[in-house]
Amino acid sequence: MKKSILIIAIIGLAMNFSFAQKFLCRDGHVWFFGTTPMENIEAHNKQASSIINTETGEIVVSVLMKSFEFEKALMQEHFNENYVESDKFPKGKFNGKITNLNEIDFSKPGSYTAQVKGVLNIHGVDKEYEIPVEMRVDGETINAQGKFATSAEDFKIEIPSVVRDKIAKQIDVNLNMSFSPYKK
Amino acid sequence: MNQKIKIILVVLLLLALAGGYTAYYMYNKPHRNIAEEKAEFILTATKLIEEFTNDEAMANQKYLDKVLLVSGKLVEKNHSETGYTILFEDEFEGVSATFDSLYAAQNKAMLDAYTNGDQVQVKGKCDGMLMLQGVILSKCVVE
Repeated sequence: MKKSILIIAIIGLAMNFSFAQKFLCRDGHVWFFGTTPMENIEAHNKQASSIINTETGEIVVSVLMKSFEFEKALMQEHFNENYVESDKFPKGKFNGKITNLNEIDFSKPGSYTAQVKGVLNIHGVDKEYEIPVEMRVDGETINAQGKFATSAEDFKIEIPSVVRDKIAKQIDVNLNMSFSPYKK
Repeated sequence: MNQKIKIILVVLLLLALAGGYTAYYMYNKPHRNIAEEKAEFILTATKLIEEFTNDEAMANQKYLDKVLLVSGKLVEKNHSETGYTILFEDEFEGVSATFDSLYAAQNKAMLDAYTNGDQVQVKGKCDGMLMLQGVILSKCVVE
């Protein structure tokens, strides 16, 4: 009796491993911008890391705040030192899950809209988001593109009143990532 | 009396001009030029990885935003539209050195000539440690 349970458990584990399919991205492009009549703010990070588990629908995205590049050095400095405090909180991290996994066939080429629900942590603050992500499955690779709106308030980032008019209330975050299967 | 007011006005005007110039300069101040900065730390990729793996918070405090001169064994090169990256010691948990697209274009022949197993030394700004990529150095130049 005990033995059979053990065997079933081992088989189950083995099946899990053979089906678990992970797709990786190490050069994802994440960028954000906010516009006000005074000034446009735009920053790019082309070194986002991400893993999609097509079996469970889990998605993890991680970026380093210091890798965001602004056109103006001064903005970059303010972003790092005063707003996201990247010395204290060097990473931005998203942990989420595809909620409509049954509508996506990662083994069949095509375009799918994945509803990704999860928690984004920036500046040490958690905030939940639901993001529609366009997934283009093409042979062995997956391209994911998405966009969602955030604000400094979401992450308890205080903006001094002197510059408040210069910094947009709504910050749009965009992502474009290409994943390839993890083989090993 | 008149003379005094004139002098005060001229001084005020000069101050305003200087202030305006400073503000304008600050607003448009150039980005750091990592290529011209002197490295604050000289170490091997293995040592850097070890420090970050042992205590990430401490390594962050020590290395973030600092210019590092790092040498190690090349294990992978990635050349995509988003940039040129070379990886040291390990594909996922090593050191990832990224070159600006301009630098990569100007030094394409040199970068292309490197093959896996080569010893390479780069200077770059430390951005931290990231999953799948290891310790990240950006704005790198080969030295």
